[in-house]
Amino acid sequence: MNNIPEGKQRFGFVDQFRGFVGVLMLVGHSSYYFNSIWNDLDPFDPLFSSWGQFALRYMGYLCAPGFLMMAGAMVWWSYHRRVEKGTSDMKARWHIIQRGIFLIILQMIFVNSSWGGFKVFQPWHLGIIASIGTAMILLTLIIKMKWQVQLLIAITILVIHPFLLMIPYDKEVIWSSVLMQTFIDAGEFNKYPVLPWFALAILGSVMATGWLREWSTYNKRIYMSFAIAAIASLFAIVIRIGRGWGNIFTYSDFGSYSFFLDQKYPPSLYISLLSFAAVVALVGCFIVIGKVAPKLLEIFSIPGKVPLFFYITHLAILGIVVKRFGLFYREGGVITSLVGAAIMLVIMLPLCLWFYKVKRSSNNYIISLM
Amino acid sequence: MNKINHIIISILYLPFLVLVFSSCSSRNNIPILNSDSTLIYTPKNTSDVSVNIKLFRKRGSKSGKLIDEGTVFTIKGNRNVRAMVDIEKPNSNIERELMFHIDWIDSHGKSVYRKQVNVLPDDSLSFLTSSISISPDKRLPGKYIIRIYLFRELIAEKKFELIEKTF
Repeated sequence: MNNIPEGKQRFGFVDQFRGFVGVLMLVGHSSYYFNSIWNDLDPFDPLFSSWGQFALRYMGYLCAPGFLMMAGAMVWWSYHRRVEKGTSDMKARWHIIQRGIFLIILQMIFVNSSWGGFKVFQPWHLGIIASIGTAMILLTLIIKMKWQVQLLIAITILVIHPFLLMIPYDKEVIWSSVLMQTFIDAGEFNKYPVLPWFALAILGSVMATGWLREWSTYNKRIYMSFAIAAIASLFAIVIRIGRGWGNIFTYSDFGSYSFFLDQKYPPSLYISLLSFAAVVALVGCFIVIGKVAPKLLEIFSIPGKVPLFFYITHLAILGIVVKRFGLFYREGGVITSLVGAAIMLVIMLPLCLWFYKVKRSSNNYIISLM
Repeated sequence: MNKINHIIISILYLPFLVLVFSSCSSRNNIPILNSDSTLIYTPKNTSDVSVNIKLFRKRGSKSGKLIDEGTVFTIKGNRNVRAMVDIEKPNSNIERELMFHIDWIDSHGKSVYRKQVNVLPDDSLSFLTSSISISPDKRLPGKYIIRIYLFRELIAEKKFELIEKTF
């Protein structure tokens, strides 16, 4: 039996996982628009009236780390594939930098305004897409380094970040807010500061070395994914139990939902490690399922092949229809959010299939960056 | 080799599985309504913390008695609705810090004031207090709610109404 996966299958799990994270994100965004809890929910200091509301919010915690790690993995793959095909080192890096710049611009001129249905043009703040773009640009600086060095850089950033969060700054002073919230802290200007998310992108690049090259058999990918995820989970749990460094929110008991719910904006070390573990374990699960029941996860490939298109389009539709036209805006609860997500999925899947065909046949520069 | 891998990974995953399968929510889903109209989400573990909410207009400066205790308050200048949240700790040896949030919510479901109180293990505090202004320039008539959260989980809530002054 040949355990070496074929070319397409090697990346099938990446597409499927990205699509799965996209669907989770859609559920989270559907909740943002349809769920009345958001009249009161402060994402920086969340309180939950029921376990259902907690679960609905918490499943979205996987999205940003999932996308950042997959972006890191794809940067690693894109760079090495191009260099191996004969592209010069600088050209391979420049290709990634262009995409990073495109994402930052897209955040500012499209994504920011789409949340409100384009009622107001709001270019002057950043977000997850800009954070991914910046992380991609920064990754080009270290993409040629060995995975061990990259891992060391990621760990160093994660270890230092809790200390950097102690830097005092005046949120009323624009330049200090912009500087701190671009890189370290989260706030009105940017919920996704680059530094902790860059660390996760690096970890994605490190994992890509194994997933896409070094671990040449299914079994090795599966074992290594689960083993790495387990070790990272253990570190995360030890840090959480310590209740000190690496934690931001306190918790009640081991296993309670406050145990899992540390700060997301910006992520505490505990949340970063737990997210990393969850992403790696889930990718492991996707590889297993892809091996035993390949058709089961195919549906996730549809948004997973065009994740950026999926992101900006579903957000624009929800923003215009629900927020701008006020259709059921924050009138429902958990069930309404899930129904909203299901309806959006029915709309988005054909659109993603269509755009994927367009992208494959188009030579347009902007479409190639999507 | 595969068997060894299986065993190693299974051992590594044990603590995580224990976490996942342990109960996430520490409160019962269906609240009970106590005699003074406070909805209480009782703890699954009976030795865990529970609270009761009393709403009133002011407290006697000498007697300490709660004046105008109830659930209907008249909007008037320089007035407040105050809450006293009695903390019941059946197990007085709780060794961890308790994180409470008190959230005042208006008739549109929006938070008008939120306060976080951390009670330290050696703190003798047996109640929390909070208040919001009910002057006409700040509040509209309608049905309001005060909610108490422990470690971000809803543990009690009480509805009250603000009415306009009638002449």
